[in-house]
Amino acid sequence: MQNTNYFVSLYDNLHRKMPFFGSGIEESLDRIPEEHLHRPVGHRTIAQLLTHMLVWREDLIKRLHELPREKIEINSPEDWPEPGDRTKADYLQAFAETKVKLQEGLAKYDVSKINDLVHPDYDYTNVNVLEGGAQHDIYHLGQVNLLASILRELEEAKE
Amino acid sequence: MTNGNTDWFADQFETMFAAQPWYGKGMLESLEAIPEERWQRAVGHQSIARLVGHMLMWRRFVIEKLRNNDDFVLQYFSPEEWPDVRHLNAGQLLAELKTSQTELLQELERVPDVALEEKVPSKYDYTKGTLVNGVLQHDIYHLGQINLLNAQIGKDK
Repeated sequence: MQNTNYFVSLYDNLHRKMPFFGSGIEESLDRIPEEHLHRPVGHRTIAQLLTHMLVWREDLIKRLHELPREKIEINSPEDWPEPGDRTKADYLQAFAETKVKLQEGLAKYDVSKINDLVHPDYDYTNVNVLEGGAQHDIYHLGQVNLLASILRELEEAKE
Repeated sequence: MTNGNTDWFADQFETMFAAQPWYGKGMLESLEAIPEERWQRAVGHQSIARLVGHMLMWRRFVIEKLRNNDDFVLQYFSPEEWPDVRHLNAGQLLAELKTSQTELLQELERVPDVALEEKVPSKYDYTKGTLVNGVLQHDIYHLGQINLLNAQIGKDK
């Protein structure tokens, strides 16, 4: 691998309209009414999912820019922080800003270490992390759109 | 292995299908842990079985296009894209998924890297490489939905 253009392109794909997998981030958020953002469906809200996605974007940004970072325990409050009263505009801004930082970090990433282990205690390589960061977004964006469609259906059923 | 070549994509599909990809739970470890009675249970308009049926159709599409099958067509939001799988149980759907994984990996083994630069035959404006990557991401997108549906149904009991 000679450069990280492929990984940079994954984020263009996530933020564009009608990516192959479904709907892009802005496209998805545009369709969600503000009042649905914090409305629970079972144990989850759209805001919780978006906040969780941003946690892992920030973690990857720190890795890419070689900034100090703390390990995030899976299913801990740090992994799933409370969204507070964040609005759709807050999320749109956060996703736009993190996209820029991710792509800047990926563009300057040293490809010679791409197949190295992330940590000697883990089986994951840096490739898994670079690819997995965007895949984590896709995985949870699917969930965001599922909750959005369930909330839409509930709304329609009331009418 | 280079990003964008057939080995790269085969590795990506294997990682997604197996256990513990970076982003969460893999396809088989997710589906094999879901009790039979949850597969057909509808949450809104969606069910786990319906999502698996939908993923199977796009997997079939990419397999047929790698084989240069010009006749295989899949229209967005058509009944073919969202087939009725209410007559299939978990074991049958899982078996179909495993078969599609084998066929897909065989095709990625068979086709040369340069084939990924070819346009999808014949009425499509994107390459086979874009299609392969797209179907991989499509699996991940719906896998997230499957795991959320399973969690929702589990908490509803």
